[in-house]
Amino acid sequence: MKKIMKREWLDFIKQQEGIIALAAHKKPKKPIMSWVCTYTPLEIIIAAGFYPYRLLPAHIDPSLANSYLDSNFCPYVRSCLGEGLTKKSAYLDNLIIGNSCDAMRRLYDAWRHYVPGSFIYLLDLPRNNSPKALEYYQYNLQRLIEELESRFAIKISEDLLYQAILVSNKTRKLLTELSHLYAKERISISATEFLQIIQEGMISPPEEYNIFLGKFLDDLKKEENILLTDSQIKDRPKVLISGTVMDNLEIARVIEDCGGKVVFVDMCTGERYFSEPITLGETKRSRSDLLRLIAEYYLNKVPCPRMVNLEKRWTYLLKVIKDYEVKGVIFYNLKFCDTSMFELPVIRERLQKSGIPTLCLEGEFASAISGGLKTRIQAFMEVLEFV
Amino acid sequence: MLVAGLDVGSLTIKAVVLEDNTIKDFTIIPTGAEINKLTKDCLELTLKKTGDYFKDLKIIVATGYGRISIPFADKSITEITCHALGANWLNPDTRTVIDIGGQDSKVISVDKEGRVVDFVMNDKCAAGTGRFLEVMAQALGVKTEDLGKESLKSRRKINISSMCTVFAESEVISLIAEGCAKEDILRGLHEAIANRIGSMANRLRLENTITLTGGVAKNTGMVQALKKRLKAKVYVPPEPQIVGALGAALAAQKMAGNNI
Repeated sequence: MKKIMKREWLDFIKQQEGIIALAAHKKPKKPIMSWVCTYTPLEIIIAAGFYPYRLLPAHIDPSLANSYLDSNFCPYVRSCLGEGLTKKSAYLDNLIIGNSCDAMRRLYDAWRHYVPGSFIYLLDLPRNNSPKALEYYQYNLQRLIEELESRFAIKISEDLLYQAILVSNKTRKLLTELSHLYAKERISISATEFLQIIQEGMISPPEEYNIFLGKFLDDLKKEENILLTDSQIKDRPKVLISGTVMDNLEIARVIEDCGGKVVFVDMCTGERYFSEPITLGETKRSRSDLLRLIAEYYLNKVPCPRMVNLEKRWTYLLKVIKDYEVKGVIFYNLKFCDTSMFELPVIRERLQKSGIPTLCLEGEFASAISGGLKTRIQAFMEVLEFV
Repeated sequence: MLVAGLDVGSLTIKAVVLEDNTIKDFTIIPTGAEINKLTKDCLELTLKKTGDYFKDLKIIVATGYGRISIPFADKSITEITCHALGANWLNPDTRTVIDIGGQDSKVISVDKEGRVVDFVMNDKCAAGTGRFLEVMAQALGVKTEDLGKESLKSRRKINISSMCTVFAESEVISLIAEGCAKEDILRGLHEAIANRIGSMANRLRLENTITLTGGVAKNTGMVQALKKRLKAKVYVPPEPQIVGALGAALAAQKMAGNNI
């Protein structure tokens, strides 16, 4: 069974590489609109006739951008700018930046100056989900649509928006299903493969991705491929990873090599990318109704640490810990990420009081995993063996 | 029951042979390029002293940064777990371990069973490690083993502001040029490291007794500076450098016990 899965997976990757290669030659089927923050409304990008593409330049050394942004600055943002400066790929032509933190604003500033000729848009983002915030975000979505319409001479109709929501909803449903099967160990995929499938979704044409993932899941769910719960759940300590952007999937592999089982990934390259689909209902909706639904979806989803809602995040993390029988939490935050560092001491202390050991790791968009990082992870697994 | 613990560190390799919960003997040798061979030599040297044979060893556990490069070890365990086990065995009152090794330093919270509760580790650079002190000793023309003794002679306080090995070295050279006494500079260096370790330790809940492990704990000047900075009950084992290897041997003993 594993063999079939792997082969199909490789085929899909190859197909994706084709798309990215096309992008590099500036000849993709549709133009590409890049995004960097999971509060960016992908539905609007799809409705506007673009392929949404998340910039995840794990191969770009952040120091390439050091002439423009200081070296004690978000390494994700520096890597994105580093890639932008190369101007090699079509996905660098257009970029929507969510105003989620200071680093993102500086990316916007630097990109405007040093990546000339590209479309760049800063989407302002409220800090909570109050009625006023929802109203404001909906207004911003409306303005984004107007900007796209005038800049690219297109019309984003209700119908296109409705269809786009259906596409994004499908992706969310499929990924939620995959996540359940994976966490309960009903299918045999590793943490790295699980994260890879999610990240692939962020850079692939959405409709093609949905078709592939649907087939993939159907195959997995065939009777002979579903694993018996009790025979498969091994005596491994279950780990929750919480943090910002996963720059190196090898981390998940190191955790599993050291005897842990990653059951949940609370990151914007993990489970925070998808949650409950948008409920559309039967009746025809106006454009502003649809925008309202989109605004509600993004502001009501599990908050990123940059949102001012620590209690909501805490309740959610606690629920994940209970539901998935988590033994320990690994925080993996990119260096200099103030918004996530601020909530860390509070959450860490609360977890310690609940008897959940924690480990804090820092990511820096480096291609290799250091010996020190491996030692920390292995030592943490040794701690969990006793818990 | 005969077991061995090996601590393959960045500057030295340590071997401890343990029989029925008693240290039979130990060896410390410098690390070189051929880690596997040197570690085997280190173990063989110890066995020669105890009069035992390699085949008599029930279980061998390796720790330290080179732990994965030792094919003849039965298991690899991190130095964090090993230092906790070793410190607890040496002094059951240990609740915090501060290990200052050759290339990193760690602060470990331990429970009364010797289990790790929490830890922090600095490995980004040589600041606050044995390697840092070695470089400074060289700049001052003092033997590493005399660093502590020399620094205790100091009668004047000097602040060393830079903790980067490269910058601190040039700062030390400037101080020498200004005519500062060696012992005062050394004391300043020790206090700077103690401050750095102290801030790292404060990230955990520091509880008494604090056991110092790793080669740097042999440096009396460093121990004094740490005591002053931490204002806590500090215990220094007779052979602080072998605590990691001892912990590995204790883990081996436990494994062997479980197998019987």
